[in-house]
Formats: sequence, C-alpha cells, structure tokens
Amino acid sequence: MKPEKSVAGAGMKPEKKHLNHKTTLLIMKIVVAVIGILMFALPAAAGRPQVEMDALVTVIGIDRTETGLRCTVGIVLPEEGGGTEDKTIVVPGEGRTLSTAFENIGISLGRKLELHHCALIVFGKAKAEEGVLNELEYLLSSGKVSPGIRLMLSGNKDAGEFVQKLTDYTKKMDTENLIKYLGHGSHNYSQKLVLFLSDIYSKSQTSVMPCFMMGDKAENMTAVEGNEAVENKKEEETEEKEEKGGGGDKKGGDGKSEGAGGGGGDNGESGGSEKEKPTVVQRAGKIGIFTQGKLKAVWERLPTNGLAWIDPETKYGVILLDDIKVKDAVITDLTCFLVKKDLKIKADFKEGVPVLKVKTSAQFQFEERGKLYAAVGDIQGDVSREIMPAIKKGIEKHITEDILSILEHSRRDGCDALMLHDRFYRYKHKEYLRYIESGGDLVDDCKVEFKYDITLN
Amino acid sequence: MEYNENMKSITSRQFAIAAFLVIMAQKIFLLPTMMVKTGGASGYISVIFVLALELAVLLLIMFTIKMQPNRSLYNLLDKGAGKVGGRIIAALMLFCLSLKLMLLVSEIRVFFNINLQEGLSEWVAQISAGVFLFAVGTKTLRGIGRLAEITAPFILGVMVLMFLLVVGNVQFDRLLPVLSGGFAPILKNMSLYPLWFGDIPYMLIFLGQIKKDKRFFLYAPVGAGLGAVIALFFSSVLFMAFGGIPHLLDYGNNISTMLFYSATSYMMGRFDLILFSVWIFTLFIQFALVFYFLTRNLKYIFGANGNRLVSLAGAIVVFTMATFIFTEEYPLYYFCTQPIVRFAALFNNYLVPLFVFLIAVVLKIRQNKRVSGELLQPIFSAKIKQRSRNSEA
Repeated sequence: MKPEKSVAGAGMKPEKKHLNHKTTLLIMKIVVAVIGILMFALPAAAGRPQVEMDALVTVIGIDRTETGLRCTVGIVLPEEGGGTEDKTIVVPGEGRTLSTAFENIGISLGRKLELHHCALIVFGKAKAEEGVLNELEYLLSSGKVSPGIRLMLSGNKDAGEFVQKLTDYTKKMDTENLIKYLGHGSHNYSQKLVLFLSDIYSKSQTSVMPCFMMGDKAENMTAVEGNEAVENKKEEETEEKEEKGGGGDKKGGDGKSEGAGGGGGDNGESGGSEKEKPTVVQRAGKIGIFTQGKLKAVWERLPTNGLAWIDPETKYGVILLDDIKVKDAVITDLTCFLVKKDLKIKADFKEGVPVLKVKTSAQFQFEERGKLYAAVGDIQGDVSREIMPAIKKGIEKHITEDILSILEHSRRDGCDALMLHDRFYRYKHKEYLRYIESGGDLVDDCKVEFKYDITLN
Repeated sequence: MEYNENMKSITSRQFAIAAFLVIMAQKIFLLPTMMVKTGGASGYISVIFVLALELAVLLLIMFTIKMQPNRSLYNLLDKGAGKVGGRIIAALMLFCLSLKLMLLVSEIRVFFNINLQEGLSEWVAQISAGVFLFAVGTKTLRGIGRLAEITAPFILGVMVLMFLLVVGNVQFDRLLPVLSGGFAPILKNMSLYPLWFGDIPYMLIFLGQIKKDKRFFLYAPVGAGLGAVIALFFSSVLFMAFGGIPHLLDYGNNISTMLFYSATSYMMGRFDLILFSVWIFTLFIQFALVFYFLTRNLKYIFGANGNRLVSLAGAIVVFTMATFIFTEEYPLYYFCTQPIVRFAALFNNYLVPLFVFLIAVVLKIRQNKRVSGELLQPIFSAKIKQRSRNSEA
C-alpha cells in the first residue's frame, strides 16, 4: 500500500508542475519562432531571389540541323531589384538532344532556363518530318513543362524564325494571350502535349498539330508603348534624312500605311498611322498530320476547319457561308459568328458496317444583319419565312463538308485523323476487335451520319 | 498487462476527420503513378476494390469500438492471443509500420526533389521530420486528432479548388474500354501494392480512445466515404490522362501533374504547387499517425513505461533508415513489392482488424453471458435453497 502524500507535499507539487509547464511552453514558443524566422530569412539571405537568377522561357522552337537540333527560345529576363521593364530576348542553341541544347543556351546566357512558364512549342517542318517523339517525350516525362503546353507547326521558314517574330511582337509576356486566343477564341484546332502523345500512342496512331505562320515585324502597334517607340523612331529617321540632305519620301509623315493589307508593316520605312491594326499572326489555315510521331502531310483549309469543329476546346470563330438562295433572293458571303458549340461523336456498327454519328449543337450570331434584312425585304413575304431554314441548311452543309473532308484526306494519306480506331476501340470494343480480325478497314469502310441542332441569333 | 492509455480521448468528429484524411493521403500521392505503370488505364478498378475493402475494415473497427469502447488494441490482443501471441502480432504490425513510414518518407522526398527545389537539403528535411515525429510520439492521440481537425477545413478547401481546376480537363472516355485486359492487371495491382493501400487498419490505434457519441456511426463512414470518393476521382484523373502513355510518367508525377496541366502555368504561375503544398498536410498527418502507432507498438512489445524514450528511439531509427539505408526509391519500392512484404501487409491490413473484431465479439458474448448469469444466480440460488428446505422438510 502506497503511503499517503503529505498535504504540504501535495500543495508544493502542483505549483512546481505549473512552473515547469509554463517554462516548457515558453521555450517551445521561442524555438518555434526562431525556426520560423530562419526558414523565412535563410532563402533570401542566401543570395539573390531565384526568379532573378533564372531565365523564364515563354516559347520554344525546335528545328533540325545536320548534327542534331537547334532550339530557339524566347526568354523573359526579370529585372534585378524587381524592375518593371522585363527584357525579352530570343536565344538559339544547338545540341544533339534537347537537353544539351537547353544546357548550351543556359551557358550562353549565364542563367538556368526555367521552363514551367513556357506557353508554346513550335516545330520546324523539317524537324517534324524527322520525328518529334523524342523531344516531346523528354519534355513530358521530365516534368519541365506543363502537360497542357500548346504545340504548333511552323509555317515559316523554320521554327527559329517563328519564335523570333513571335517574340518581337509579343513583348512582356503577351504570348499567353495570343496562345489563349488561338486556342479558344478563334476557330482553330489547338493541340496540347499530353493529348498529342496520347493520340500517337492510341489505336489510331495519328495526331495533329495546327500550322501557323508569323507575318513580318509590325512597326505600327496599337499599344501606347509601341506608338511612342514608333513616333520616336519616325523622328529619328526624319532627323537622319534631314541631316543627309535628302527630302526623301516622307511616307511616315503622311499618316498612311502601306502595309495594312498584308503582313503589317512591310519594312522600317513605312512608319504609318497609329490607327493601323497589323495582322502579325497569319492564319495559315493548315494543319499538320502526324503518324507515329512524324509529319505525314499538311492539310489545307477544308479538313483544317473540319478538325476545328471536332476540337472540344474550339467554341468560337467565324464561318463564311456560300451563297444562300431563297426564291429570288441571294445572300452572298454571309458571315456567321459561332458563339457556342457542342459536338458529340458516337461510334457504332450497323449491320456490320462502322458508322460514325456526329451530332452538332451550335449557336450562331449574324455579323452582317444588313445583308440579311436587304435580302428578306418584306417581313411578311415568303423569303422572310424561308431565309432562316436556308441559312441553317447552309451552315449544316458547311460543317458536313468540312468534317467529311477529314475522312477523304485520311483515306488519301493513309492516316486516321478522325480517330476512328480509337473511338471504336473504346466504345465498341468487342465488335471492333471482331471487325479488325475479319480484315475490315475501318477508315475506308466507315460511314458518317450527321445530326444538327443549329440556333441562329 | 492491462494497457490503458485513456487519459485523454478524441471525439467522434476527430476520428471521422482522421479517417477522411488517412484514406486518401497516400492513395493519391504517388501510388496512381505506380498503378498506371502496372495496370494501365484500368487501374481505377483496382482502386475501387481497394477502397471498398478499406471501408469494410473501417466498419470492423467501428463495430469493435461499439462492442468494446474502453479496450485498447493491445488489451484486446492480450485477451485474444495471449501475452506472447499478442506481441508476435504486434511485431508483425511493427514490420509493416516501419516500411510504411519509409515509403512515406521516400515519396515525400521524391516529390520535393522532382517538383520543387532540386537542391533541397535532405538533412534539413529529415531532421525536421525527426523532431516532428518525436513530438508526436510523446503526445497523446488527441494531439493528432486536434491537428487533423485544425487542418481539415484548409485541406477540404484546397481539394475543392483542385477539383474545379481538374474537372474541366477530364475525359472519362479515356478510361474505356472497361476490363479490356481482363482481371489480370487489376489483380496484379491489388497484389503488388498492399503496403500502399492499407491506411485504415492503422486506425486500430484509436481503439479505447474515442469519446463515442450518437453521431459516431454517422461521422466516420461519411468522412471515410468522402475521402474514398476523392481518392477515386483524383487517381482516375491520372489514369485518364496517362493511361495510354504510362512509360512517360515518372514516380515524381502525381496529382500535381494534373494540376499543372489544368492550371496552365503560363497564366497562373505554378498555382498548382501552392495548392499541393497545403494538401500535403494530409500526408504529414498520416505520417504522424503511423509513427504514433509504431511507438505504442514498441511500448507494448518491450513493456516500456514512458513515451519519450520510445519516441526518441523510433525517430532516430526512422531518420537513420531514411538517410542512410533507403536513400533511393527504387530499391525500397522493389523491396516493398516482394512476396514476404506483400503477405505481411495483407495480414496487417485485413486479418489483424478481423481478428481484433472477432476478439471483441467473443468478449462481448462472454460479457453478455456473465451478466445474464449474474441475473439468474439470485433466482437460481433461491430455488436451490427452496429445494433443500423442502427436502429437509
């Protein structure tokens, strides 16, 4: 039996316990505070912030060379001390592989390349024909870039030129707005890294990459800084010419641009007006078709538009309809603006024949109501009653032709851009296997059925 | 030995939150990457089966708590398997606990090395982890419960954000066709990774510690069910995106890769890492729970009295193993998928909770018999006395 504790002893112990507990808490608070301060202070105390020591890559261009490849990167160099003016430069580097090319670029810059903010990878045509899998697999598996990074095929001479022109135009990280617009805001197919590779390794073994071409350097920008720069340059040029003694052709002073219709500012002399809107990215209306990671063909407008219809990310864009004829009224070149789109594709077998069912729900807005009203005339007339169904039919015909052209081109070039094999394999697995074992050719035999739900505003 | 550590208890809500965090933590960390490599896009079916088993184990634990609310795990082991048998079972559990801790350390290290600072000093991280574990080991289970309770709202908020970021890029049809390779890859996944799967069995340490209330049987299944759904969704997202290209997934890729994909870093920066850095607290709580279990197991096996020595020893052992022995992930993962480890993990994950449940059932039956025996006894003894009086008469 344990002896009872004395009252005095019992009275002393709680106090001592209380003191120890308080002291312990105080010590722990001090320790935690010291550790917290060290954790926050040490990284900064260790040197310059990491963001100033790295080069932020915004766009990568990859071209083929005799010895390997040439990588051209558009880089943003943050200013020291958190300055507001960021430097944007283009740096090429060569290497046998992409990683060695990156290293060489880093060495030439004296900075480590930070690829996490990269928005775009562009391939030159020659490199695309040689194959892109090594480079893309390296980038995805290393985690250096986002799996959602966009891919493009350069319509320019090579990817390096594309990157140079893109970087010249898009200063201060405007690249991402451009990419976003090309991917979502316009009627263009957009491709991402992980989806490209997934499609290449799927049953269809086919993937696509949109093809764009950069125009010439735009002298006349709509941004304020651009205008100031242009104004300053015009003044310098004017002064130089006066010094040389030649009155010269003061085109710059007329306020008229010669480059409005083309690439926007053909050369440095044009100067031009502040009101010009240069077309710098020339929509090539083309798309590159890849099989087994190599560029097989470059398709033109119709199948390119068809693929844009199928792309779930493409929800906007402008379509130009052929002549719409209703009774005696003819509307030519009617423009409809796509504001909403939902396209469902279903793979099925009908009596042993593969059938692709395409159901399109789309909402369009008219851009040229004047043409419409002029054609309709009397609102109580027959034309008024029949014009909308005619326009809808025109739209349906337009979409049908675009999508069917994908199938025609796939048959011609021996690829599967509609991803028929992948769709049938996923949705009709057993029938697909039986069909393939029986020797059927899915791409050649497939029929397409269309259903539409078009709304016009 | 009566092992009773119910000086402080945790609430039903804390138990439910712990179940929510623990059931999903490691399952959406690096495990999906491994499962994609072995099972392809059908890996999500393995996850469904595994989560169903985890929930079944949770029910076993809950019914054990209902039948024997004041008995700890070690008390039940003593009663059911005897002192020697109980310690043998505890030693087997200790083996699994140690490897589980190594896995957690390794995965956290791999993730940070690949996704964050390449030059991160592992010594700093490991020493910090050791101090944290020592602190956890010296405290009661209530500390872990409180930690889970405090961090849960932030983790839940971050999970909602992660869901919103990822759901727009989900293409469910990439999980098709279902069972294209048959059941073989699914069974392979389930048999290869039991050490990764078993998370709920570690909640056996809560036995005898819970302040049960009326909502205990509501909170816990809801919490664990929610965690299971989240684990299934996020692991499926990885299967969808990379099911066709498993060879391109590195062990450092995981759900943060999907966030990186969805967050489109050139517009939002590496927003995904900020979210993930909050989410990773789930892993730290699981880390704490497993280490707490390990120290109590050591105490039980060796009959130690205090917590400090055991916690210090445990933290030093974990630090040593992580820093000097299992320095690379591949040898560790290889070892953890060997048959002996897999069988031990299967025993630990399913047979031990079942055995403990059965012990609780038997004890309950005996208690009921004893009670009914005591009630009958006055009547019975009165009858005997009556008979003897009659016979005397």
